[in-house]
Amino acid sequence: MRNVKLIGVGGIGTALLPFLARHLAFAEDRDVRLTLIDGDEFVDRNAIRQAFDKIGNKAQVKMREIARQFENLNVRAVGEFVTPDNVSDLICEGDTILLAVDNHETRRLVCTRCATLPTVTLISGGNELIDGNVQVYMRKDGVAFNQSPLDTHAEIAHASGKTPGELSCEERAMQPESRQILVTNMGIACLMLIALWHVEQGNTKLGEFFLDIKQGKMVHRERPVQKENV
Amino acid sequence: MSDEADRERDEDQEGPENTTNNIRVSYGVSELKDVRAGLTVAQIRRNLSSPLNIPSDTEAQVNGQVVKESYVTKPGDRLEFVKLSGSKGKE
Repeated sequence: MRNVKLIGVGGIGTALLPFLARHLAFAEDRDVRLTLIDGDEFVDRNAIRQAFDKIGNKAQVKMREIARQFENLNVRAVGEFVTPDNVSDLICEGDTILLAVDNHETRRLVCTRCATLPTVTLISGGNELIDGNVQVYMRKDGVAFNQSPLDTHAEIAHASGKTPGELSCEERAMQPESRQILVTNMGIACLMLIALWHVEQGNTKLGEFFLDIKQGKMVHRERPVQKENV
Repeated sequence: MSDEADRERDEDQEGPENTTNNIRVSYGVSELKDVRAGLTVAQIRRNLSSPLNIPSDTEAQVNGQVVKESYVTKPGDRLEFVKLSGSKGKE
């Protein structure tokens, strides 16, 4: 069974999910399971950028929606943040991970875990107000096809704060409010789906996609693995 | 699509292989293909920070390897000021 996991069901995740689910539900290999992972809750103010039909845990609310819409798709929810304690249970050998979180600490945790697995695909997207990027990291049978975001992004490699799951409720409430717009979330979600399609087509020369809404520009830059990173 | 058509398409997108004394410099979606080699990373950063909007805290990499600001660029190098991963919707 192919395991596809969407970590982060917020601005980018909710934009990606309906199309990801459709893509998987009608894929040639129907033996696929989609897992939604997020410990956060939908609240009213999320409605500016995120579609949801109930207040509650994001992964569980969206899992129910998707299960109703795509009866043939095997979908489940894990209502937890990724933390150092659960990362090795949540990310497993052979997984395809779509990482749509807004903090470098979770990215570092997920990238570090992926680097220990012989076979894994990681597609990580994030955005600022009008631009963003999507990194692709693929490993097969112990060989990396491209550089990990840990090698190319110092802000991820050296992220030293707590993941959202390690913060107390008070600390989470004190986190700065994201200032994002729907179109940038959608652009990055679209690029993540494009990256997944490339992976499924066997393209191993992926690296990083950059998007700038204001300039109306998207570019892809390869990230060939450096010898010492193999 | 034939290999020849693939090659033509690649050259249209990327330009011919860089065989001059120039280097390529990129930041995010922006790329310059005709920057003179022989300047240090610090000099290039200073010269291009405004046209390419390069923040001062971005890491410099040449051909995929992190380099110091004192690195002297060589013909054919690909210098990238790595754009930070998107996080909280900063402007």
